Amino acid sequence: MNKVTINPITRLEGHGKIEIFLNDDGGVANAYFQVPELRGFERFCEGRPVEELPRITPRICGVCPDAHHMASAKACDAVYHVDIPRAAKKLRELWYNAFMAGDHATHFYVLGGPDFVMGPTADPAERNILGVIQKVGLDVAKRVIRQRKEAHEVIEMLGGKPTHAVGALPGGLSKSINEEERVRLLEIGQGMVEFGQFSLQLFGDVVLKNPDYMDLVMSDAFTHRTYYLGLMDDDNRVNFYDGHVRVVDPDGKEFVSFTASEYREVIAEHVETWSYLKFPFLKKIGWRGLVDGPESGIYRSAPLARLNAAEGMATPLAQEAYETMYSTFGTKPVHQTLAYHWARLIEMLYAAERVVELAQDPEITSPEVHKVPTATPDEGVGMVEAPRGLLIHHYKTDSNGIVERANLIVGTTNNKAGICMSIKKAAEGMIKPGKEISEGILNIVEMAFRAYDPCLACATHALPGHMPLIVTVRDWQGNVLQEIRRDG
Amino acid sequence: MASEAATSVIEVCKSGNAGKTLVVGLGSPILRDDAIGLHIVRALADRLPRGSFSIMEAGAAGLGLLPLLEGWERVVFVDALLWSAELGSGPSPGRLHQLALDQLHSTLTLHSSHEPSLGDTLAVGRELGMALPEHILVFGVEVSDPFTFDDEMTPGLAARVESLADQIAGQVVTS
Repeated sequence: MNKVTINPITRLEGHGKIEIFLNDDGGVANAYFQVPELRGFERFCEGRPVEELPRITPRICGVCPDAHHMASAKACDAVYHVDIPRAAKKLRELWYNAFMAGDHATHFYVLGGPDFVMGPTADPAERNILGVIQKVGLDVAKRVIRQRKEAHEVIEMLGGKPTHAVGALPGGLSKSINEEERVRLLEIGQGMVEFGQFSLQLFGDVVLKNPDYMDLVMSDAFTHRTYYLGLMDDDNRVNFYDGHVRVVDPDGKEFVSFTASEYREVIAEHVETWSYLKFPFLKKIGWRGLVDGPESGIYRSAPLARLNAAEGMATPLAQEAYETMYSTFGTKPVHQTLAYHWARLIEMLYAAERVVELAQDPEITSPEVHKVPTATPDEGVGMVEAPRGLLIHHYKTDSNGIVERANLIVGTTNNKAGICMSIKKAAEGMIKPGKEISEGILNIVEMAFRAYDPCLACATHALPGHMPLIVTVRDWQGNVLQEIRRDG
Repeated sequence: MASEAATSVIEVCKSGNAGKTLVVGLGSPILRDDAIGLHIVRALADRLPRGSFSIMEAGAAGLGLLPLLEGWERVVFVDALLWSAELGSGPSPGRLHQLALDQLHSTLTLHSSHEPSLGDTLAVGRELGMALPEHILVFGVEVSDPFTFDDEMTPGLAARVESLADQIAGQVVTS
């Protein structure tokens, strides 16, 4: 069997690489996406007071510290059986939505967007934020930076610090806000709504009006019929901060719905010998390997999956955009992986509208933002939707609140199987028996996994994104037949 | 715990930084050797003249760094680094490398999966007319294990903190 390895060249041997195995005819046999897992989280947490975890877990990475902070604080609430005050719930949700709006903007304009704005075949040297600036103008870059800055301003106001916030604790928040701060939150939210609308307009002009891009989006190479899941409110509308998880089957029919404490009944984790990272799948359907369809327990998570699993968006402008997307595709669920980018922008607008809604709620200036936990701590699960997928923190403590066990399922992990399938399918389109493997495979494979916005910072620090790539084609004895390489 | 100390960012004032150097330690305090940059900048606090240097610890990368960089004459980064073939010879944890901006693939924080590179970040900032430092120095310290949750570094690396701080201080004070 021949082996093609696409490797960010600076990783340690055996870590974070894409491997494409060829069969004897030279066609694609399988594709694997390998990432290193951070070791020893459970042991690190053991013996620590559980209330420390909301401050420790954001340190796992600098990309989505707020997602870990929130999931951790919610798990602590559950461990202490405390129902936090309404104002605290609203402020946490507001903070979390501001974070989501900032994060999604970064992905679209810095990582995912360049493929479309510059074109999938553009020179990699131009296929980045600088290229985007050249093409759509400086004002957009200013606006992206403002979005991030203002998201950080919200996080600092509510969480005490702009990154690695500390404000959420078991029972609520450590501080309330005043009227002046509320007005500022509203102003920030309104700016984010405008930018959300602008971004969807840009996506419409650049992608939807370009038949070549739409052909690519609709192509079989980027399509998988899988299950989808996402966190929902009581009306089955997307919610990033709280609710129940709804799972739909490949036809869009509700398969199961579960709350945080029930996750283990629904999700199991499959282990492969070649990967450190486990593959979560739907227990009831079972693991059938890296294949899609209703018989395979593989599900997908993150923006497109959330929209597919939902019956709608909870805010008006996002709902309008949601309807436009589904009427454009004419089906629901949408199985086209590249539609993750579109779904991400719809979510960015939703997050912004939600910030505005919550900032208009007079209750958020209530001084009642913390309820002192009094119950004996034992076990709890906290869930949020991280930008890159469902994030679950599960802690078990002794009666003094000292951690005995901790388990995390992180966003990107939920999409591991989907990412592997997407890479395989993209590779199948590019690698044909008897045909030389061209440099085009780099772009197409990159696009396939970039749609998921894979952040492996929870699992490693420095994987794809802006990546140097090397593709090595070897014969079965390991001799190099061909090497395609692009540095940085 | 260690992360507590690591959160104490020295407040820096945006104005009045002209002619001054900001030294930024990067990394996570709970991923064993990844914390090396944080430990080194703490040790640098006693080694650099106060008036012309400020020190900060950060977990940020990419565009998140832009606001930090504005207004300084010079910025020095200290980050953990994974050995790669382009660094030459074999891996040697604790070895100090001074890197060029286009050589940052292997640093752990500056090269993030979710951010533009430092070079692109600076280019974006300049396009936007921000006053960004003329001089950027990046020091990478080779580490062996930035993948295990631990608030202690591997002993061999921990023992090198003081001498690494001496080396870096020597270079940034005279250069």
